[in-house]
Formats: sequence, structure tokens, C-alpha cells
Amino acid sequence: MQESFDAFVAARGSSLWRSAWLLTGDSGLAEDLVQTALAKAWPRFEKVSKRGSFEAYVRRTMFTTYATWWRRKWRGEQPTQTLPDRETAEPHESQSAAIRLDVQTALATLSPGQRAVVVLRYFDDLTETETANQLGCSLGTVKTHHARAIRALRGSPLLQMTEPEDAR
Amino acid sequence: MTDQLDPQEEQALRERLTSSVPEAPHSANRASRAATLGRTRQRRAVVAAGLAPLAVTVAVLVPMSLSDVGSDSPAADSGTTTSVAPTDPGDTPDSCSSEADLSQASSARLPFPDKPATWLRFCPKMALDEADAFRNPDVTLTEDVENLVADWIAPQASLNCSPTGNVYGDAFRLHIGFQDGSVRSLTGNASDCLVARLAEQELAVTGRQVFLQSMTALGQQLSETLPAVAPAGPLECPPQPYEPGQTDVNGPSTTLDLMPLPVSATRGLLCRYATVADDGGARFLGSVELDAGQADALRVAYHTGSTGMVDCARSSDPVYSLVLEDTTGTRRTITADLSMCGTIYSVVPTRGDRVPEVPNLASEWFRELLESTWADLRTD
Repeated sequence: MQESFDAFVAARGSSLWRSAWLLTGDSGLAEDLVQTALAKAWPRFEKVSKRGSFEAYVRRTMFTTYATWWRRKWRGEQPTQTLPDRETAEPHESQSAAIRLDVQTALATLSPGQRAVVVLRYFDDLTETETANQLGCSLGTVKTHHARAIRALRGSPLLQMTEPEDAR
Repeated sequence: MTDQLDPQEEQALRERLTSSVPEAPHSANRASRAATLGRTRQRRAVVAAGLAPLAVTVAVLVPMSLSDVGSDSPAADSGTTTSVAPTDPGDTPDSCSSEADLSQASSARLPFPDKPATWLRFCPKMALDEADAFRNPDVTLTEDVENLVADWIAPQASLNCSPTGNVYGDAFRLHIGFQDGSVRSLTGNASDCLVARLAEQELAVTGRQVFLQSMTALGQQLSETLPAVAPAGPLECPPQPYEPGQTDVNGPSTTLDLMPLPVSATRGLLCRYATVADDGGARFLGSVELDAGQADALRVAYHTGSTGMVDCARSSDPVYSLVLEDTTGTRRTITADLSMCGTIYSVVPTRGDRVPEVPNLASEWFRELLESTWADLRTD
């Protein structure tokens, strides 16, 4: 069992971490979230793997854990409008950092449920129904979270197309 | 203003999300650490199972019940579960306090189905000896319910039972929906005693743990259904703890007809006073700030208070004023006078006919938590 679990984590751990980073906006918290979800899911690895997708199970655990923990552990998250100076930063690195900050700032305005729906719909590319299954909630709840999230994101750079380089 | 994305906006959002995520760090021992943590969780349950005989002794002292209320489900009639489509939270029984539910709560005990729990309804009891005392929340909990209920089914090690007797504010009823469509009802109170014990399987969880975890989860889920409001400014201790309503703020959460403080607290301030014998007032001694976890734990414990007559001599114990604020900007001050039987002073606005009764005597849990929180955070 442990070998199969190791193989699963080696293959899918990075993908889980990327989703966790979008949820938390922080590398350390993302790792913490992935670890917790994997630990919760580990005892059920064999059982769940036999009847379906263990990754879906871990992801669901991760998203629900995120929603549960958000208020208890991660209230300190405060996106900043100013980045620390990096003398060695190349222009493309600065642009990536700016996009990252835009995303962190915009996502930080959303509730945990809204943020989870946005990440599942537009990063993990799930349908509304799949998102509802993943979060263990009704389709109506997903639609409500989605609508409120989009309203909240109006005006943020997240919804604006990137300008061509020569237009800058 | 539309709440749907046009194709260009959707493309922009997808691109921004994808391009913003940094490379995942290489973590060679991620799997082994997860397995170790997972084993620890399992081991905890196994160790506690060894204390099962004690659990049986304790459980018979506590009149609790567990029944299946999914009367429309074939599984409910037979007492066994069958594989059916997962239940949507919308299929839950109408109310925790309906007559049908109450009558079935005393029926034969049934085991939990061997399926994941998919939803949970937590109904606190906010009045004594009333048929409709169980308040029915509008929201059904769905987040992390599977893990929550799985943890409850795993036996717990701490079984130091202290029945709370004829309490009013800390009783609760749960409806738990499982993936096979069956629904279980479970009634208890927030004591150190077991909620239920079944012959067929290990179910050994204290009422206090269920109350704490359910109230916490409900508060969080309620907060997500209401608009968030920016904090109005720093929290302040009331100049006079016996008049706690002066700095209260009514946010959207005050419209909920459920319990005095239904939504999770996001911050708090704990103020300590000494009573002044000659004029009946109180002298301010100091205050400590509370983070969200500390504030919310005190919010939950406050709801386990009872109603009763004050009948004791004044002691030298302190007076605490607890200032709590939730995500909707609602701010409440609750004063617990530990020098006078733990008498509680608070102001809860009227909400029509179904005003929750407000505890006027602090529970032992609330008193102990006030004292231990102060002891942990004081800096002098």
C-alpha cells in the first residue's frame, strides 16, 4: 500500500500543491494543506482507490479542509500592494510577480467557498456539477458562490485581457 | 452588473490563474510525512478503543438516543442501508423540531451506515421544555462533514463524564445524512458525557466535542452566506461591565433567528474587572486581545449557559466582559460576573416572536474557558 501511495503522491503532489497555492496564496500554507489532506485521506487509500479516483477524494478533502481551517489558521493572510525590491529581477520576472500579486490580491477578497469555486472552475477546469461533487455541496451553492465571486472580481485585473507588449 | 463571464473574461481569468502559480517545490518526503500523520490519527482511535468498557459504563448514565429519521428511505424501515444515489442536502427532513422527528428520536437504535456522511444539520436548543425548542438553521453543513463524522465514529480517549443535568442552552439535535440516502438523528447536550453508544459499532464521542465542532462549523458556514463587513474600528472594553450593550453593533447576522451569536467570531477582546464592594460597581484591571480561534471558542462556550435564579454569596472572583465581533460586523459584549454565580449580562436584539432565550448563568465550561484564556494571554 505504501508504495502505491508514494507513487500517487510523487505523480500528483505537485498538481495538488498548485491548487493549494491558489487557495492559500502562500507556499508554506499550501504545503501544509496538501499534507493535511493527504494525511486525512491516507487511511482510506486502498478502499477509495478500488472504487474510484483517489485523487478526487484527496482534492475534495483538501478543499473542505481549506474551508474549515480558513478562519482558524489563516486569518493572517494580508496581500500587499507593494512588492519587495529585487535588484536582480529580470523584466519578465517582474511581470510574473505582478500577475501573481494581482491574483493573490483579487482572490483574497473572496470567501473560502467563492475562492474554491473559482479555482476548481477556472484552474482545475471542472464543470459546475463536477465542482459541486468535489466540494460536497449542491449545484445551487456552487452557482451562488460563482455569481458572488464574479461580482467581487469585476474591475480586478483578473478579468482583463493582457495587453500586447507593443501596446505598453 | 452581470455575474457571468464573457468568453474573453473567462480566457483572461484562466490565463491569469495558470500563469500566477509558482513551481511546486520538490518535496521528497511528502508521502512519508502524510502516511506518518495518517497513522497517528488511526493509532489515536485504536488506543481509545481499548477504553471501550469504560465507555459502556458511562454511556448508560446518559439518556441519549440515536434513530433513523429518513422515513421515506427504504433503508430507514429496515434499519439497514442500501446503495442508493447520494442525498442532496435539500432532501433533509424539514425541521429538527417537528413532531415526527421528535417521536422517532426514541425509536430503536440503529447503527451508522458504512457510507460517508454527506451533510449535517445542527439544531441547538434555545429554550427549556418547549416542543419547538430546537432551532432549525437555514444552512445544512456540507463542508468536511465526511471527516467530521468519521472522527466521531472513531472512539475518543477522554471520557471523564460530568452530566450537566437540567440545562437549557447546551442541548442539541443533529441530523446526519449519509451517501446511501439514509438519515440519522442524534440528540445530546454539551457535557463531557458520551452522545451515544451502539452495540454494533464503536461510537463514543462526547457531547461537548460534538457541540463545539458543530457550532464552529455552523458559524463558519453561516458567515459565508452573509455579506462581509469591514471591522468598524478597535474593540473596546465597556467602561461599566454591567451595562454591556453600549458598544454593540448590529450587522447582518443579527437577522438570523437561531441563537444569540450564530456566526463565527473573527476577533475578540477579553476584559477583566474586580468588583467594588461599596458601590456595586467594577474596577477595570486589564484586557487581552483574542484571535479568531480564541474568540470563537468563547462564543461557543457562552451558548452553553443556563437560566436560573442567582442564589449565592458574592465572592472575590473577577468579572469578565467578552467583546466579540463576527464577519458581518456584528459586535456584542457579554459580561460574566464570576463573583456572583457566573451571572451573565448581555443585550440581544429582538427578532420577532422567536427570540432566542439568552443564558443568564455561565456554564462551567464557559467559566473555565474565560479563566484559562485570561491566564494564557495575560502579559503582566
